[in-house]
Amino acid sequence: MLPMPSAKLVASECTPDKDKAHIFESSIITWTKQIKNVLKLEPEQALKQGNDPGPLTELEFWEKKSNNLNSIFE
Amino acid sequence: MQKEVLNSRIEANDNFKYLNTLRPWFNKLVDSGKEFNTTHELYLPIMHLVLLIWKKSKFYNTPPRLVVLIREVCNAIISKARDFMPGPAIFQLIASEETFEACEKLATTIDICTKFKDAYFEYKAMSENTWKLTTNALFVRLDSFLERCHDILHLTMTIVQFNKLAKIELGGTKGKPLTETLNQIYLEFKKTVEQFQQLNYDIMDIEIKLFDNDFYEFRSKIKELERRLASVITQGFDDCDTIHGRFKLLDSFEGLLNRPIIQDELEKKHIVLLDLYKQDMK
Repeated sequence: MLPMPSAKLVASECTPDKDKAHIFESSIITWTKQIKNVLKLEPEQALKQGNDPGPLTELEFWEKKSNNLNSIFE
Repeated sequence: MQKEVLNSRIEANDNFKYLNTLRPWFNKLVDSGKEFNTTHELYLPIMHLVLLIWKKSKFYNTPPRLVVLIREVCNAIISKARDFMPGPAIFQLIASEETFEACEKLATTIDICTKFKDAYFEYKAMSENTWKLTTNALFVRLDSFLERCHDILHLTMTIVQFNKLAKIELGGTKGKPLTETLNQIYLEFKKTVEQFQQLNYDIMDIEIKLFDNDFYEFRSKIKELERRLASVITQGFDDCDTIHGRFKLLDSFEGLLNRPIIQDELEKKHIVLLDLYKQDMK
């Protein structure tokens, strides 16, 4: 789920090192944002959206969060 | 950040593992095939697991977690209750003169919903004072749903009681004009109910706050009719000269006599009745 930078650009001889560094840098920024968003997720959000969710929503929430974090970890 | 991910990951996995034990019960709770009036059988197993999780799990033991879970269980109960007794069905029962059935179903709904609060407090007591939650926040939605059910039950009970008026005929010297007044009251009552039935929203939907105004208006109108009814009953009472006749009169208004305004008015007559009874005994 974390997007890899374009392999073609990074591997290419034509891309200057400075640009490569830039590509990696922006990838890391994107990843950080994504990871922070996952960490930020709270089960209260479902209730605040006003759809009156049932208790299975809570199970799904933790299932999703743990799947997300597990895949980041790997 | 890596540490943060690691910690959150452990927490999420742990929470999911513990919550999964509740899955079969939650599935039953939301299962539309399950009879509503057996829903309360699920409360104790659910609360038992919730308390076990609270005690055993490393992370799922904080008030914010419990608040979300309990509130969501309440949502599921409310949703089941609304399937069991939908607003439009109440109007249909009234229209087909099966209002009493609506009364019974509403009473069941109130009972099943209240039992969840009972189950919560039973387990809160067992949590050894660790469930320090404001109960208001927990049951805010269930409470307003219960309030709505009580209001609608008040409505249907009123209809059942006032429908008696259709068959009452008073005797005695003033019998005829009094019966006419009764018919008039009954007609106005029916008009008030018909008006209420025109409401173009689901009366069991607690998000619709307009209901409070509409119901207030209905009650005000009913109170006025009740005062007039109380006056007819006391006049009829005074018009009767035998104790037998008076009891018969009161008997024919049975049910309506429990309404507070009428009850207040008739309380004064109880002493008269008792005195008459005493004289009869002599």
